Amino acid sequence: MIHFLLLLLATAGFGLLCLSRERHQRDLIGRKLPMRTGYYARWSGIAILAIAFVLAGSRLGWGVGTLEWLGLASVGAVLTMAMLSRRSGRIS
Amino acid sequence: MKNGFRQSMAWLHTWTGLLLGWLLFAIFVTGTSSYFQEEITAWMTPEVRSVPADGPKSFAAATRWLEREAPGASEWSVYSAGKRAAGLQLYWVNGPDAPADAPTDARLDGGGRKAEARETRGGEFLYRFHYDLHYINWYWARWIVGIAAMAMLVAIFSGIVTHKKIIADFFLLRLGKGQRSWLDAHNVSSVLFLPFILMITYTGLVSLATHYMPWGIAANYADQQKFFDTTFPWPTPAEKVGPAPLTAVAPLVERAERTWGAGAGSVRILNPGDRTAQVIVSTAPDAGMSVRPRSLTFDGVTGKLISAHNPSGASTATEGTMIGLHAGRFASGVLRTLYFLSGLAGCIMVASGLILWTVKRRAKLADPDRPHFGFRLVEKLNVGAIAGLPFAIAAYFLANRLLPVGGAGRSDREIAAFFIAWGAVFVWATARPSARAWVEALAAVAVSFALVPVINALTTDRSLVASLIADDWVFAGFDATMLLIAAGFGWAASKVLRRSAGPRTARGKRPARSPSVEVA
Repeated sequence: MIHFLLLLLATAGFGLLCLSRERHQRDLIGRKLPMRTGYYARWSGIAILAIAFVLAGSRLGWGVGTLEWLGLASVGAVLTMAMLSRRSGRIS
Repeated sequence: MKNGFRQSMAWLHTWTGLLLGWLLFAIFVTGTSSYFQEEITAWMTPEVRSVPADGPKSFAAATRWLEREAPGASEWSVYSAGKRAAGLQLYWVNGPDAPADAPTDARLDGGGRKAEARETRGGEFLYRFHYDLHYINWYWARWIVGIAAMAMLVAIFSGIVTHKKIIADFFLLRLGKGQRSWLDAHNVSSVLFLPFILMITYTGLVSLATHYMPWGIAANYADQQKFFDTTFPWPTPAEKVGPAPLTAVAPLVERAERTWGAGAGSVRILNPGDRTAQVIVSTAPDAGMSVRPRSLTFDGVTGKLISAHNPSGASTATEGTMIGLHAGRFASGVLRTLYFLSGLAGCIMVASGLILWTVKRRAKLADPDRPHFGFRLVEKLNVGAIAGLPFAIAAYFLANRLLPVGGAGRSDREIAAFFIAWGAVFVWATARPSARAWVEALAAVAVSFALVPVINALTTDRSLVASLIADDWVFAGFDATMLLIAAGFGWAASKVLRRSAGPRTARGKRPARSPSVEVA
C-alpha cells in the first residue's frame, strides 16, 4: 500500500512540476496558466516529492526508503512524460 | 571557447559511447537479468518443486544429508541465497580415505532431498557473463569490462555536459519525428534514470576495485592472499583429535538469526564429528545492504559461542555497501522490480545511443543507397548486438527446455546455444540489407520469447496456467515476463517495418516481406 501511495505522490509531484513549465501547459491542459499559478504548481510539486521522501524514509528505513524513492521518482517522471507525449501528440 | 568545450565533450561522448556501446549493452542486459538470478535458476530447474523456506530447519536437514553422504569430510558448507533461494548449495572436502573421484558438491531442495534436476548453470551464467564474459580468461575479461565501465562513466559525464537543455527538455519525448525522437528517447532514458545509471556504473567499478587497482594492497601486504586473509578471514580445519558427536545445528542457526535480527545464509562446519569441530554461521546475502557477511563461530560439540566476526571499519563497510547497492540482493518485491526497470532504462539508453549514431549520419551520407564501410559496419554491429543478445537469451531458455534432460555437458550445450544464436544474428545482419535485418531480427526475438512459455507448457507440467492455479509466482512471473518482452520486441519490429516500408515503396520497391525466423 505504501508503495502505491509513494508512486502516486511521485507521479503527482512530477505532474505538477511539468505543469509549472510554460511550454507544456498548453499541451497538458489546453491553456496557459497565470504566472502565479505556475509558481504554486512548481513549489507544491517539490513539496509533494519531499513529503514522499520523508514518508519513504520513515516507513521503509532511510537506506531502502531513499532507494525506493529514487526508483519510484524515475517511474513517476516516466509516467508524466508518457502522459505529456500522448496529449501533445493528440493536439498537434 | 565555451562552445569548443561542449563540442569536444560531444565528440568524447559519441566515440566512447560507440566504441564500447555494444559490449556495454551486453553487460547491461545480462546484468539486469541478474536481479532475477534466483528466479531464472528456479525456472531452469523445473524438477525442483520445494524451495527452502525455513532457514534453521533447512540447514539442519542439509547437515543430516551430509552426515549420511559425506561422513569422513574435513569440512562441510551449506549456502543459501536467502529468502528467494532456488535451492541449497552444498560443498564438502572429502577425507583421505574417500576415492579421488568422489563428489564434492550437491544441490538440495527445500525438503532436504538431493535436487535431481537437469544440469544447468541457470541464472548464474548470465550473472557471471556480465563481468567475466565467457570463453576468455576471467582476468582479462574483468579488465575489458572495467574499461567498458570506465568508458561508460566518461560517456555519462560528457553526455551531461553535451545535453544543453536537461531541465528544459526534462519531460520531452516527441514521437514519430525521426532523429529528434531517437535523441529524446536517449535523453529521457538517461536523464530520468540518471541516479540509477550513475550509481550502477560507479559501484560496478568499485566491486572490482581490487582487480583494477591492486597497488593499495601491494603497498601494505606481502601478497594479495594476505590481504584477503586479514580482511575476510577464512578459518580452516585443525588437525583431527578424536570423534565426538556433532551438536544440533538448528538451535545454533536460530540463535545466530536472533542475534542479528536477520536470516542466516551459510553454515560451514569444520571437522564435523570430531572434538575440534566448529560451526560457523554467516548472514544471508539478502540480510543487509552490505555484501560482507557477519558470522558467529560455535564449538561444534558443546554448541558454545566462540567468537563473533563483524566486518566493521569505514572502508570495508563503504565498499560492502556499494557492492550491495549494485547487486541489490537485499531488495525485496517492489525495490527489486524498480532495480529491474531501471536496468531496462539503462539498456534502452545504450541501445538508443547506438542507433542515434547511425540515424544522425544517415541524413548526411553522400549516397544513402551505398553508405561507406564504417557506417555499414556500425549498422550491422547494432543489429547483432541489440537484437542478437536478447535472441541469445531466449535461445538459452529454449535450449534449457528442448535439450535432452540427461547427458553430460548439458549446461555447456545450453551456453553454446546462447552463443550460436547470438552469432547467427550477426551473420544474418551481414547477409541482409540493414533495414530488413532490423525487422527480421526484432521479429525473431519477439517470436523466440513468445515461444518460451509455449515450449515450457509442452515440455513440463508447470505451464503458465498451471502455475497461476498453483499460486506459483516465480514460474508464472517468469512466463508472463517472457510474453511482455515478446510484445515489446514485436511492437519494435512493427514500428521499424512501417518506417522502412514507407520510403522504400515510394522508390518502387516492395515493402519488407513478413518477418522470418530462419535465424533460429
